Amino acid sequence: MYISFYITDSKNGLIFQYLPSASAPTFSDLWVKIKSVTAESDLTLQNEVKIGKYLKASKYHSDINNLNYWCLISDQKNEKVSIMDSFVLLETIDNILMEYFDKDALTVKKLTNNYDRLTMIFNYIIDDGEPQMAGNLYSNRIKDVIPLQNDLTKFIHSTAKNLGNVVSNTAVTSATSRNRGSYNGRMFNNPSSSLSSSSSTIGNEEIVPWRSTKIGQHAKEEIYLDFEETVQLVYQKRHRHAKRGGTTTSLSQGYINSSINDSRMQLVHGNIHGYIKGNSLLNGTPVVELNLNNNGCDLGIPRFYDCVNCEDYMSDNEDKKLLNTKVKFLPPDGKFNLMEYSIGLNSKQQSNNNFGLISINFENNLGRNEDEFEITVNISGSSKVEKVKNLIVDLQFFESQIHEERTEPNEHSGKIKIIRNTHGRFSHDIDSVRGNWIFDVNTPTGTIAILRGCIENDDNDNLQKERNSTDEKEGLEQIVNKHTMTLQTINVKYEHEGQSVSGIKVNSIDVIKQPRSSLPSNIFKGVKYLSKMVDYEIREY
Amino acid sequence: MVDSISQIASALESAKAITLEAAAVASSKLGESSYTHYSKNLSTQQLRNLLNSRNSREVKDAMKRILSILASNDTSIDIEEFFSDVVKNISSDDIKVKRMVYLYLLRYAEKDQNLALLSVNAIQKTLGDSNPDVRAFSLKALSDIKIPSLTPIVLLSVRKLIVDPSPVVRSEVLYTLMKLYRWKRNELEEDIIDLYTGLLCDSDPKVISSVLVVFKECFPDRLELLHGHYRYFCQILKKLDSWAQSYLIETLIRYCKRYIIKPMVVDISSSDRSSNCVPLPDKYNQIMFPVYELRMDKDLELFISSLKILRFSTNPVVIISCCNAFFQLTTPNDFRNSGFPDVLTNIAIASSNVGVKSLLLQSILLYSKLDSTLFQQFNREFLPFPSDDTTIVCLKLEILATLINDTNVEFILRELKKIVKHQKNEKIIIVASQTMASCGKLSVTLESHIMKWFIKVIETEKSGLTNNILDCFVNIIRELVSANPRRHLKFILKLADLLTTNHVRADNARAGIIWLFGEIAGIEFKVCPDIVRILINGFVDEGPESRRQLILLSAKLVSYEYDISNENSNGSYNVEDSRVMKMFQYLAYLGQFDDNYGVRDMVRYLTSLFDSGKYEIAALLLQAPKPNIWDKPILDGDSDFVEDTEDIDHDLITYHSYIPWDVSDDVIDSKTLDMREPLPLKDYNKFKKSFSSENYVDTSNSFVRDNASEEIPTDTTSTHSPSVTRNSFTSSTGKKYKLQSLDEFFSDVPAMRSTKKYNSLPKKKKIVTVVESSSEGETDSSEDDETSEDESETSSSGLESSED
Repeated sequence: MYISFYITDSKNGLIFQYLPSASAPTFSDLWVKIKSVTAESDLTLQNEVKIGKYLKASKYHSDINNLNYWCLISDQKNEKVSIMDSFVLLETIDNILMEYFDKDALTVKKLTNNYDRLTMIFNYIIDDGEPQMAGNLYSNRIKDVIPLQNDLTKFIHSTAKNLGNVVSNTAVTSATSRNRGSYNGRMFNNPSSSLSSSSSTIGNEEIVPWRSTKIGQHAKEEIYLDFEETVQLVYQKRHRHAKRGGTTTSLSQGYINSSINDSRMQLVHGNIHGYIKGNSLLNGTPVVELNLNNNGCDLGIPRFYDCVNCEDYMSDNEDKKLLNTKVKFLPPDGKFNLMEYSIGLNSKQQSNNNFGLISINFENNLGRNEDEFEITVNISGSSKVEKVKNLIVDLQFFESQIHEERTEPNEHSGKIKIIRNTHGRFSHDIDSVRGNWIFDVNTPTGTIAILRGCIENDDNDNLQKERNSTDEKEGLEQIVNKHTMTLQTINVKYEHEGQSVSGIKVNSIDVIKQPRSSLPSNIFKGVKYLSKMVDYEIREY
Repeated sequence: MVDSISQIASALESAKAITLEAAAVASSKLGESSYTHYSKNLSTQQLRNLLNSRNSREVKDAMKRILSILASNDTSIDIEEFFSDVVKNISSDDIKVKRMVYLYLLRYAEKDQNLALLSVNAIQKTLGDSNPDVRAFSLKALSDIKIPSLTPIVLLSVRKLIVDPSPVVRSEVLYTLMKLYRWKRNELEEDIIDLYTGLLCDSDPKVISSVLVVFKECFPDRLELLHGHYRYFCQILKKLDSWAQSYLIETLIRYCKRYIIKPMVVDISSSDRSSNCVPLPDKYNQIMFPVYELRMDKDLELFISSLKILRFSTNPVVIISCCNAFFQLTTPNDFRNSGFPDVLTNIAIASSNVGVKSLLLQSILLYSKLDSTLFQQFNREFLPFPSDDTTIVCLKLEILATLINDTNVEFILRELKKIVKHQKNEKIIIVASQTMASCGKLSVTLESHIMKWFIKVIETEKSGLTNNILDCFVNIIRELVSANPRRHLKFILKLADLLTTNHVRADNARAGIIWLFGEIAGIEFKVCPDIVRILINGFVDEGPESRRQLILLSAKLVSYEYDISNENSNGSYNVEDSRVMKMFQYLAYLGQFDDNYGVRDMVRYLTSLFDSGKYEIAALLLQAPKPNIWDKPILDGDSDFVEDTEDIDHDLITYHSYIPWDVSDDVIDSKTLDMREPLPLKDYNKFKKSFSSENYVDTSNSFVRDNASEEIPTDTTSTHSPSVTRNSFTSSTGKKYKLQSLDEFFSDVPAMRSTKKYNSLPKKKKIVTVVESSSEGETDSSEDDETSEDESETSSSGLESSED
């Protein structure tokens, strides 16, 4: 049973607390207690703190909002209770709040301004320490019961938005492909299709618990879907046995890199996680049918939120796997989550599939002294993607050959010097084993960026001497290598809009209206793709 | 043309940007922030004035401030002193103010119970509101004021609202029952169960969701209550709230274990099927047949098949419950084919919620320890990514350790080596190298390969390794060697090199290697005295642990030499004169003056053995065979669960612990009788749909009085009334209400009032309410603890100041 809830910032400073009974401790009291039972270093790491025999505090950190959610739970008799409930509930609450306030991210200000609403929301969700299940966890239900204030901002905002829509509508008719806000992605503007009737509707009575009963008439009916894919990839770069002498002709290499370089790269493991979120402003009780072009990806078993009809999904997608996916759903009003999918890249043996827009390669042992390295980032041009955001290349240096005798530990203090850099800036750690090549916030596609640097070993001379001395002393160490630090791993992070990494595309979005409801002539449909490269590691070791 | 349009578009776009800015400016002046700012400066007196204001907007503002103080831990104003000012606002017409007053009461009602009672009247009035949300709220508010004398009123309200047409209200009734149960279990248990069994027949998934919460919280062991509902629950599983799905699955697992006959495992590899048929074994993964299928009771099958649709669920709690169901009730084959391992893996890898992620991975680890084939095909998914945090990486590596087999070992080993060599985090390196060590179990070639690799790493990277890592490496080598020392003599010599050339500097690691030589002395005696000879020179420079082990090693050598000499020369050989003995005596001499207590103690204990010439006893002590670490079974023979559990949360293990099938004999005997025959459902929907939705609430209630027919509710005719259904469920459960008490309650004035209200039209009723609250106000019986005989009269006692 949940005793109390707290929302804090990432440093655990209280923002909001929900104390539904006289016995619920305030956060400052709880915090003192938590501190007394955990070591200082563990405080940020631990998600669960046992306070007493039956008391524990759970924490969920919301990455989007950079907030911590805490709850205090007493668990007296039920041993057989699933132990992750609290984490999932806190995550759900985080989502509910975002949907309720119609925000992409919650700010502390928003929360402090709405203490009364927050308290009521928590009270509505939780009843006597248990989550209320009569549909109370749907943000639209909450909006019904605890209405949001419509202030001037909203009004002006919606006016501006309508204006924008008019603009983009005009744009569409002139056959350019634009999208709301961001001008990427594709848009569909089909007049709504067939008038099938699937489920019965009775007045303004609730048909599905997630759809509000009091939906006002939207002047302009719209539905948006956002595809967000996060990608994790680890590539192994094969060792080059034959060392190249002299400077490589990097430019020519860059141009043809996708064909030549990639053949030397092998995917070790990786996966793509996709999330489809939506925003629906539709009247009545529409059933929306989403047709996806899978681009040969196996979606596995997707995870659907409540609004999706799983039975239909199963019957619709029995045979024609991998080609198309059809998903039918009855969208909630406003922001909602539709589905999540995972595409495993491990199962089938893909030879050298190149994911994403950017192909990247690096070379070691270049230059006269064979102490230079070069990274080539090739952002291929695309008609759908204009720019790549927040591109960062993380460089890691290791000792490549470790044969020589060392007298002192941790002596390798090679200095990284940048010889040539076409884009962005380079920064590195003091100990020089890591460096970051940071691009501008936006980098246009169709760019080739090159970073060439050299690792200066301070102890080159020492090494020489050392080598001599060791050679003299013992004949054992036959192979004594020259300098040791080489670039061994690069990790690339970036995001871009306009195209999904997996290549999944929307074929069509059809809104199937109930016969009774007034037929809108035109429903505006928008799709946005967002790809995030979370881990893209290429290593050579 | 296109150009001009895009120009217009950009112009409009910039206009939009300007408007947005303007909006931002405007909102900062007019919006929420400005209010917050303003309210922060309210003084105590101002706040009190606002609370007592007649303007409901001002009251609302003041209440907002009160709630902010409560929520933000603001200590500048003590809001407890506003108690009476706040509570009287409960009679406000604005539902929002009511809610806020109630939220205040939640926290402070127990502090001043008498004053809190004042609010009861006003709350009770709204129990008959036309809006179901308001009715639900009133019931919630009423039951949350935990004052003992209120129980009868709450119970009365429950009885009244239990047949409410709105599922929201009925679910609130269930929560109220839960509160009553927690609160006054001893007095009211029977009443609560009576009411509860009635609600079990409900057809609405929302209500059933709440039913399950109450079941979990109050009657987790009254599984017999579920007999008549089992099949319906399985049918509507998908429609329930995802939390309730999880509760239901957990409950039904226990139900099946008690009331459904254990399924049979049939061997389908042989032609004679009838003979090869055994009940499902209690221990997982202990089915002897190569190919088999599971024959189960129809009801169990229904349950299991209804789970399949849940694999699309986004809620990890549901997924884990489903996995548990397959784990508890079926065979590994069924579990594998259900697709849930796939889902579990995906959701564990994709989740961004660290708490959930680590628990999911722990569950996978647990399942995988019991049956490695479940997750075998996903082995690559468990390779760590650079962005994973330490605990996640460690769990993934531990899972990998369970998944290694001949086909994937090469690949996994390669990856592990890279992790060990290039990771910076000590803990990850240790876990990865332990995982590597478990690869060694597969074959002798791998064993020696891994050992060789570790020795090489120690040789080349001695400077970069911390003591803990070195210790771990040495331990792994030690473990691998001691499994079969004869096979690995080459490596043992290599280790000797490491020791003597000071490659290994850490004390505990050196001590470990020295200990290892003591163990192999019985097999390969020749090398050992040399090691002692070499190390004896640097004895004083060794760490305490190594010194101890060195002394122990020399003692062991003495003991072994004594045995050897006995065999060879039949006791004529004098041990006292041997070099090994001399070395021991020298070390013992040095050890006598050691500043470490442990070393001195070791010396004393060993010298006393040898000085008294008890070589046989020494041999027993020093040559005792050490248990082989690889022989440790993964599965403990007695307990059905994983023994080695440091890495898995204790609660998770309790959660997954196997529930024994415990079907009592009379259940088996009464096979002919269908125990789970569905009980009639109460369908409020059919009833509701027959009316226009605008006024169904009131019309339906008028039926209570008008329509007294005795129809069965499951009938398809659409003119059912709640009163009828109530009759039916009384009969279906075979129990009856205490009519006496009900009469008592209905004879009360408030009950009369409410029925009256139901008859009147909603619009009229509102007027009536206003009239009541504004016109009557003579009495001031604030301390009226009784069930308030004439509630409508004393309704807003003490609160007139704001109402007039």
